[in-house]
This record gives sequence, structure tokens and C-alpha cells, in this order.
Amino acid sequence: MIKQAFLEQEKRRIEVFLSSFDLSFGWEDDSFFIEENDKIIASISIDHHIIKGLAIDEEYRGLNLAGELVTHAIQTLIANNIYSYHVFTKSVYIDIFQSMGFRLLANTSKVAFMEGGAKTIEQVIGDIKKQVETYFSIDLKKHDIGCAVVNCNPMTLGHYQLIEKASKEHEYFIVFVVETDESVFTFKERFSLVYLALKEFSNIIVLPSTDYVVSKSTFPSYFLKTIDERETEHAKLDALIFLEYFIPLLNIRLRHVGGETDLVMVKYNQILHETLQNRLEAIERFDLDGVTISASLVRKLMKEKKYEEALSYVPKAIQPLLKGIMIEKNDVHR
Amino acid sequence: MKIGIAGSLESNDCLVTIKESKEFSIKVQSIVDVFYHDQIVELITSVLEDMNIKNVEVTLIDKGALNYTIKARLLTALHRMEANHA
Repeated sequence: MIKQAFLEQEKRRIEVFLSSFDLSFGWEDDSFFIEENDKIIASISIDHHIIKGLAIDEEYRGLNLAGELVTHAIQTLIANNIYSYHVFTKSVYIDIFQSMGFRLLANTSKVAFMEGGAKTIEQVIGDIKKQVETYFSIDLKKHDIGCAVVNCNPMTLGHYQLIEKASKEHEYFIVFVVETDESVFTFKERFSLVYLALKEFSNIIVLPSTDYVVSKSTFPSYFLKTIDERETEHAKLDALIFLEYFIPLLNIRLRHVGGETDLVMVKYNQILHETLQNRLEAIERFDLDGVTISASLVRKLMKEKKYEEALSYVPKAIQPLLKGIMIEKNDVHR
Repeated sequence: MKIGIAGSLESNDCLVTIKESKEFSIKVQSIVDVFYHDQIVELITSVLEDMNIKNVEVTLIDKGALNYTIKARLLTALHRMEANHA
């Protein structure tokens, strides 16, 4: 019988069980397990729309416990009105998931990313394509397209200058704003600021990044700010999906990234570079009077309530809006 | 989007997903594909024809379900789709 882990003690037992398979456990996830003689023999977890952490004790293979658990996971997702879902799994389980109708999207030979349910990645990117084509009234395939994926937490002059410079190398430029809401500034705030700052450029479109680029599904460590070997594999998945789906379907010639100082991002850029190779272009960070502009600097000044100084590092067009947001944030935090 | 799902991935059962779609399509993946793939597709087609349903996309993952199981799952999924306006 499948049980859901509610108690801390149960969650701890699943954590131990998963660690014997070298799998990580998320305390916030919905976890389900099957036990026999007070021993956990199989488990699975759900994190929003992501199915992960499937593990089955060696001795109990061949009983189709995986089928039982995956069915339960899918039914739980549907009960939450989630009809499109993704799977994070070790590469050895690809066959099991494929036999249950999941489709393989990317595989690093250690971990794999799969999808199931109502919407496919082609449909999601197809929607983006339509949006871009209607916005510029063009046929994507006939033009030189560039892109950048940004979190912009919040938007700074650094981002602005990077995008301005990069967009000049292309006819049209797509800016993807990371959709996962795990930053100081919410997605809505970040998106509005980016949109407002870039409104003046007629060849730039600003779009949400979808679940496939730097999202919680493909690259969780971006939001954890630590990176180990396991997470390196996730970053590879993220890069692979971009290479195999976004670049061909949207006819992207180059993805631009900024110079990074943060450890996770340096590693991520390095992996992007290894995977995308000549499809990636790095641009140096910009200085303003000798100060390297970064979103973390703006956040630090915001915390210290040095609003005017913070605003001197962001584009003019967004200064009034950002000021309001910063003051509001500090009020909430008090 | 209207969508209905029924069944499970346990042995002798199947998981049916039906969603509204502009194009009619049936996708079947079965552990007995070699022997019964066409028969399952035929069964689904006839059930949909009986109910006069055209604009749907059916995905069925079969784990060795018998014909009447498949039919029952299909009907349930259809009812759920009609009831669901998510």
C-alpha cells in the first residue's frame, strides 16, 4: 500500500532510503512510499509538476512497484490540476519511464529529463515561436535571431548594456526571463522591470523562460546557490535541452551570457560553453566608475535602504517602479 | 483545455488520456504491441465512433488490459473530459 510521508520521522527514513541510491531528497516535496516489515522498499516524490526520486529496493524488483508509484504520482498531479509533468531520473530508469509513456528529452548518461502528459516541449516552444513571429511579423527561419536568458533580480545597467550590445549583433533578439519564483524579486516584478527597460528597442521581445530553461525543473541548483557533482549533471541537462530544442526550433544563432562572479554561475556558464560551444557568446561585465554592476550589489544597497545609490545602477526607465518595489519589500521584511 | 484521464499503470490495466484537439489522433503504447496494437486502436476508434466524438487526441498506455477494461477506462476518461473545463 502506498503511503504519503507527513511526519518528519517518515521523511527522514525516505531520505536515508534515497541516499542508499545516491538520490537527494527534498523536504518540501510530496513523498510517497511503500513499506514492508517496517522497512521502506520503494519511494517517489513530487515537486510541483516534477516527478523525481523514484527508487525501488533491489529485492523487490519485478513486482511493478514502479508502475504503482508512478500511477499514484500522476493521479496526485491530476488531482492538483497539473496535466503536463516532467521526470527527473537516473539514466538507468529511462526504460521504466518510457514503458509508462514518458518521452526522453535529455540524457547526460547519469541523469535524464523526461516529459509526460498533455503538452510537449515542441508545443511549448511552438507557442513561443508564434508569439515572436506575430510580435515582429516575421518568419523566424529567415532571420538572424539571438537570445539571452536572464534572471534580473533586479534588472541593472549591467543587464541593460549586455542586452543592448548583444541585440545589435542580430536582427531580432529574444530575452527570456527566468520564470521560477525563488528570487528576492518575484517573477512578475522582474518581468515587468525587464520589459519596461527594454521597451525602447524595437527588435527585442521579452518572454517568460518556460519550464525548460533555468527553471526549477531543469536546473535546481541555480536557486540553491551551491553546486556539487549531482547538480553539475542538472546544469548539463539544462544546456542540452536548450541545444536540442530551443536553438533549432527558434532558429537561434547565438545565446549570450554575461561574465559571472558567482560560483554556481561560473560553473553553469562553463557547462553551457562545453555543450553549446560556438552557439554561446560571453560578454564581459560592465563597470560604472570602477564599480562592477551586479544585481547583488543593488540588493545589498536596497537592504541598507540606500535607494538613490541603488537606483544609480539601474536603467532610467525603471527607476520609479523599482524604487516603489524596493520600499515595499523593505516594509514587508520589517 | 479539456482533458480527461483514467486508469493506472498497474498490471492488467491501462492509462488513458483524452484531450480536446483540432486533429484526431490515437497513440497506443502497449506491452503487447506486437500482437494487439491494431486491435486496441480499432477498439478505441469504434468506441469514439459510437459516441460520435471526433476532435480528440487519445493516448493510451497499456499494461495488458483486457478489451472491456480498455473500453471502461476510455469511457470514464471521456466523461471526465466532459466534466472538466480546466
